[in-house]
Amino acid sequence: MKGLLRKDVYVLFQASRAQLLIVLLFLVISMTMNNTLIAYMLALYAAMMPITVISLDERSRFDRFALALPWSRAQIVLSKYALSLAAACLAALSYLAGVLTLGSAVNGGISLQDALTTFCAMLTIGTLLPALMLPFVFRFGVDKGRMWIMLITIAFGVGAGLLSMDEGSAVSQLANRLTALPLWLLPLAGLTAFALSAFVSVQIYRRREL
Amino acid sequence: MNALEMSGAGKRYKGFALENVNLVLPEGCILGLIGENGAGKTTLIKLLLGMAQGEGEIRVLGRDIRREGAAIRQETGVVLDEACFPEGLDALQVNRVLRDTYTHWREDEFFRLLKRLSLPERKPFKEFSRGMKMKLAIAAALSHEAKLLILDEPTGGLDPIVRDEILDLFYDFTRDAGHSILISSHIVTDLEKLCDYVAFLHQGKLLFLEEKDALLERYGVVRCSKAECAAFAPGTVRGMREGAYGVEALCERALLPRGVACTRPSVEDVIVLTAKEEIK
Repeated sequence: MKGLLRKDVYVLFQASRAQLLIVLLFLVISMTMNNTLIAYMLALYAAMMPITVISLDERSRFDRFALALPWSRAQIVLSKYALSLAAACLAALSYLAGVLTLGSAVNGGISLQDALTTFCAMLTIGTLLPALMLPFVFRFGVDKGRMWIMLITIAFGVGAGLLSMDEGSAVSQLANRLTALPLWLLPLAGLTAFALSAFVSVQIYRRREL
Repeated sequence: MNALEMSGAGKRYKGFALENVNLVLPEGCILGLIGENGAGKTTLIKLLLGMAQGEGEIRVLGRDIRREGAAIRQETGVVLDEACFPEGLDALQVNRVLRDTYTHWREDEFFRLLKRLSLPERKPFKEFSRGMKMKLAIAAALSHEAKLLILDEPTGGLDPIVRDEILDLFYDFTRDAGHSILISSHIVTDLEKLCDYVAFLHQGKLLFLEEKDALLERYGVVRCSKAECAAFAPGTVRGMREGAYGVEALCERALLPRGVACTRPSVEDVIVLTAKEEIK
């Protein structure tokens, strides 16, 4: 798997230099200006990294060639999850370290509690998003996979929105309960979904014809 | 030991099926796989490499590809028709990726081949010509002490000079008695030069797999009139091409009447005339 990860890192650095610059810019802005929205954008970018790599692999048809090299299909899938987890952790940890050091030096910083809240939210975004997207991408490829994700997100959003209009509905009650949960449970839930998603993706990719 | 064994192998897609392929390639030999576009060559190669799931029993280097796919691919060099390395990588990075992938990766051999094939080390793969891409794929396939090469159209679309250069590399590879090659190509003349065995795949069926010399000994090309041809014993004519001045028939030499002159066919004659008969 080391060879696969090395390849992924090379591909990311060479094909998405502009994207990586934006990520760096987001990191500095979120740390120095205490801007949590930018921090979440950073987590979002990190979450999209494995999809970018898969998309580039599809374009050069490396996805097909990879099956002829001494990697198992499970290794190919798990390498993308490993990349995803590394990107999520790196983004969240860089933010936390930066905001507590550089941030406090530049503008007084934010409280540890606030920094940890953003850190947990970033980890959740960085694990939950790929957990939801990657099985579709491994089943349908990046282009079709994105379409499916969009359709499901819209259907889910509209459905949940309609159901939550009623204050006493089950969806509203569930939302209230979720917001009352301790913060550290969020990344834990993200990681659980991430592990489950990796298992599902391996099963899907084992059957996929390329 | 046989390098390749397929027994009752096949794969079904919508509108196409590769059916009941029985194939054996002894260790140390070169098998040329010939077939028209869409005949099933790539599907057969995918089955051999464990890239696709199909029917039947498939053993590569004496082991079951379904059970030991990754281990078998450690000992197999592969060149695929189009699929290859990611576009942004250069040869130096390909070396580092494959060094972390193959247990027996030989950097010295890889760089020696890059030099021999005049390939740049720092130029991104996307800027390579088709010939250069193929050469890099072949250099990679030959740099990890592979015992078997599986090559899908490695010379397709290349000029004769590059093709010759590449064929030389395959000759060198087969100097070791334990090394075997399966090579698919449309360019029958390349295969005729290189191969010990010839297999002909037509519309998803393996029409024959024979030792090249035995195949060329077995058949003869007879030029005569259609009426003369029709008078031959049943089973003599295996394929026929009609022209303005008569027919050109591929015949079983052993069944030809005495005194009938015939010439030695090329592999291309055997393939084309056999395919014409099948289409009828």
